[in-house]
Amino acid sequence: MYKWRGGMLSWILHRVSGIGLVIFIIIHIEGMFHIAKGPKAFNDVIAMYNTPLFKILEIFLFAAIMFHAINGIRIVLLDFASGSKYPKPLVWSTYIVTGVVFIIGAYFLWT
Amino acid sequence: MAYKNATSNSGAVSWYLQRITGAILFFQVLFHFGVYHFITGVSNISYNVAIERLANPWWKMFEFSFLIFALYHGANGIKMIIDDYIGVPGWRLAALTVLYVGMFVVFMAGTTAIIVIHKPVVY
Repeated sequence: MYKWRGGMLSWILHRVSGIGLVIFIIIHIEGMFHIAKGPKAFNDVIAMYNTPLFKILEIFLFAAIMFHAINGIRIVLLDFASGSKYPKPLVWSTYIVTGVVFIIGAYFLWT
Repeated sequence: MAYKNATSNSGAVSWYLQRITGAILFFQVLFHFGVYHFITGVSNISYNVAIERLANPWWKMFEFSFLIFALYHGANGIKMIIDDYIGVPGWRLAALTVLYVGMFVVFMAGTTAIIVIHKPVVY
């Protein structure tokens, strides 16, 4: 089994959010493809997006995007910049930045 | 180890491209999500709003490049996961075939949605 150490949770969350985002993009493109079928088909899809269930999914999507994007920056800094000198601060600052951005963003998405 | 026979390249190029496309996508996804979800808002999007935006060549170019980078990055990420967990060469080839064929279909659907010239509706 894996040894639990710093960055391990980030690694798992990066994969899980990545798989989630791939599933999302397939659904998203399927939805947007309706634009080729004319206004009614497209507007029906948008109407479905404006239901409470999709509002909740939108906030989950936002969380996945923000974590994957900010943790991705951490990986680039780790590999290409001098981030390898500060691996631990990079890990916890990823969670702090993601958390702050998520709370502020989720508030505006919900209201 | 089944890994030895499965592939001849080390994956260094895809490893590098994953970071390059990731860095580009960081800005593209913030712009795309920011505009549609925070500025415009999903409730204000309609067929006419969408085609009006796609009539602008800059928007079209942005969305099309976003599509390419995102699908490449996503497919490459799933490939890495397949490489990690599927050791049997035959099964790995099967999984990668499903991945690439599936992603090609998604790419064609996305290209159709972005590139096709739509007509506005006059009510």
